[in-house]
Amino acid sequence: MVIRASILCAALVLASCGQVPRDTEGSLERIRQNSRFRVGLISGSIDGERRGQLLLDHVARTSGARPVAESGAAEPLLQKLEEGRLDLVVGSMAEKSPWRTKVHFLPPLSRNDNAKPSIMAMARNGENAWIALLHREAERVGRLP
Amino acid sequence: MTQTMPPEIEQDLARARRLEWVTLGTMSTVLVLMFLAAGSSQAMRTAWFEDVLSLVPALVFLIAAKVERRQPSRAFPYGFHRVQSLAFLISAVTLASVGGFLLFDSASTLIKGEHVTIAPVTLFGQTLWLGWVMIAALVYSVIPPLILGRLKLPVAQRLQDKVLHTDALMQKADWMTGLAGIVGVLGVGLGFWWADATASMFIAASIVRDGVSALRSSTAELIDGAPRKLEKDEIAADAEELRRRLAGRYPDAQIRLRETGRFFNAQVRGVLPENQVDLDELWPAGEDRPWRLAQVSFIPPGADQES
Repeated sequence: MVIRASILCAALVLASCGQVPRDTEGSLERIRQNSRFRVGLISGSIDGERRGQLLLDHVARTSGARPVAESGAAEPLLQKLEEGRLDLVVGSMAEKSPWRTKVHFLPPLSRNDNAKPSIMAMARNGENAWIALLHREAERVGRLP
Repeated sequence: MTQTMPPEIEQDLARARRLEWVTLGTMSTVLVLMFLAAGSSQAMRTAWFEDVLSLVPALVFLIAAKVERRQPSRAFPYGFHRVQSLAFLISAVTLASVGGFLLFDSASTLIKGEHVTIAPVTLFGQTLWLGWVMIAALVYSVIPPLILGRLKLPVAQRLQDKVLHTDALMQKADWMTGLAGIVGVLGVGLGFWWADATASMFIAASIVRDGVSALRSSTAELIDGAPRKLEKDEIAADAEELRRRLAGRYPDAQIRLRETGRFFNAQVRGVLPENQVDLDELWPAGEDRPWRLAQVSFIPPGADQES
């Protein structure tokens, strides 16, 4: 039984090496097909270095899709993200926000001191291929001087 | 002062102790690795918590093996053999709790429809999917319990040690949970959010079954039930054979058997005691481990309230 299970695991690993991770709801595939991704911009975010915009430019270049943005308060935007009606939310957020359990927080685009929230980007949980792409780009933007 | 154990089992007891120390050592490295690989994954944290709990039977075995040897004292005139029964109960509760916790966790993930995120991670300047790191940690976590569990089973059988046997079951639970974790992480990587929780649920059901059986057996032992089999909650064959043999030798008596740890205590009720009793002679021919019969006591007619 152990041997069979190990063979099954090994087969799964080999079969999936090139295609892992994939999205639960197929976000990246849809974004590439439609050539657009839906972004929520948190109103009132203090983003002097325009890191949010930089991330959108990077993601647009890598995914071959253009951002379709809407602005609003953080709460309704994150709600939409959780429900899959947005692909990405960008703006000022506390790094220890309670939303952490409901949506995925990408690496910070810029880090302020403890008193001020950082510029963050959030994606829908489970969309692991889309998150992998966003993660790479968020890290690149976050490393900029 | 320490009490001596039957010489036939000393070697196996020493081997069991060594196996448990190796378990604590290797499982500690597994715990460190799993903690580092867990990231923000709830599933990995659950697996880590389960691994922490899995150390309980090994720890309890080592403590019980030490306490069991203590000489009877004024405060504990019957000695400490029964500490094994207590250790068995603690191990059984731990095993059942691990299964129950895992079952609850996976069921609630499925009911809530929680989509698991496994993000990339940067290690030594290279960014890779954290799932691969998790799988590597899980593969490592499967190996020690798989080997140790199999090594413990025959020793537990020879020693008739239910704590060690429950620990072997816990190790089985460990490696099965590890394999389920690998399938789960791969499933998440392939876009099946339910894979992790579904795999865990099947494994959890089997752990709960083992845990409940151990719990029934250990409870029976603590309330002076007839000795139970090592692997299930049924009366042990050698105990049944011994009862028959004693009933044949003392046909007018009522025979009662109970288990204190790995030993049997027999009570012959309603007859006068013999001057000299040879325990080895009373042990049924054809049954191994005559050392299990530790005591035969006699209750003459009228000497207890039940008469």
